Amino acid sequence: MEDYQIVNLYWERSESAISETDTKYGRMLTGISSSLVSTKEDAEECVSDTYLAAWNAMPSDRPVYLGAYLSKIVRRLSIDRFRAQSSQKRGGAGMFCEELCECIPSRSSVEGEYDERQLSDSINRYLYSLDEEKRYVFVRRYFYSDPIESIALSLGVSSGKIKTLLFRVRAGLKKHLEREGVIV
Amino acid sequence: MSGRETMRAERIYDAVGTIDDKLIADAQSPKRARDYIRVRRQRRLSSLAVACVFCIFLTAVFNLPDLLRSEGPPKDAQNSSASSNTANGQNSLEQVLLYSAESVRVERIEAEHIDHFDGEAKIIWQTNEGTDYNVARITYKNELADITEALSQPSAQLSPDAADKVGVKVWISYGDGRVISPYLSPSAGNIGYAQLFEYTAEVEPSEKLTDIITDLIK
Repeated sequence: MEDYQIVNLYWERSESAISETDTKYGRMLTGISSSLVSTKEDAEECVSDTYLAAWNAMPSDRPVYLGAYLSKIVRRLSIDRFRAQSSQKRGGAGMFCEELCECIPSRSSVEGEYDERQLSDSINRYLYSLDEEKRYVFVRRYFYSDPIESIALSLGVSSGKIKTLLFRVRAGLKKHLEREGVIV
Repeated sequence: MSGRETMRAERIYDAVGTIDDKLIADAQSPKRARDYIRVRRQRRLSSLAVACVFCIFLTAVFNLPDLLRSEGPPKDAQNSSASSNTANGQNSLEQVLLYSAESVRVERIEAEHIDHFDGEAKIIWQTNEGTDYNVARITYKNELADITEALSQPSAQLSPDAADKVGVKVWISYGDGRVISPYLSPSAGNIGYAQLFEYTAEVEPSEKLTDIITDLIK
């Protein structure tokens, strides 16, 4: 079923909206959540909460890319759950934050202040400036929380190449944020 | 990592969760990853082809004195494949495209994977009997400028019989949503946005346009 058809089910308050969503995106959402939270049960709860959030948000929301819309919700819920349980634990969301620490711009090059939306816009601009492969790798790693080996396998390259690529992209993001005067 | 740095990194990490839906959707499909692999392999083949041509060139240069001393080929052995242009431009563009599908610059892609907003201009064609779409990216700005100028020049009208016999559908996608066909007169009604459209050929692609596309795909 196409995304717009599933969204129409939500708008029509049809009971099959959730089942169709689960059929098309359940596995992907569970995968995203599993990478961030500690247990399988937590991941399942996050996915269920995602469906509830989507049900409550539609109508009013009418997402074009339903998969992306749901992915954002489940990611947000999973991160919140992880942080609520433990921010010291190695792995999960904490590991990705440590890598992104390299993107924090230097204090000396910072001008002005941005709110959360402007930080997001700045990252959007940076990602659109990248070629498709770099963009794909960055989004798979830091949004979808894929392991490096999984990304390497999907592209048919070595893990080393992905690590090098991510290092360069993070360095580029740091320079971009400095250039745009982002305070984080 | 200090506590303050942790907070900052978390802000960036959280902000990644609010990027454009299109960025997230583009990275969602594993098919897209395989497209990258295919493009990368084609680029390697292109590099290999360039390397081979360079080697042949060097060989020819070093052997040029010997070649000059020889009688050379018969004068009547003209290179019949030097140009695909014929006096009838209608058939020549079609022939170029029908026989160029195996070129290293050409990818074969399904319609849903053709992005008309990626900023990359491309030539797209499909045979009337085929289901796949062939795509050749227009890499250089001057190539796109030449094509745009050639499209803007008036072309001969095709007769209805000739229009029916055109065996290939062709589009130029500009990467900003505009999609134009060399077989249609460039009017607002014949310019599509972000989709490949059905059409019946109206005009004959000019010889200049055919030359440009031929050079681009070779």
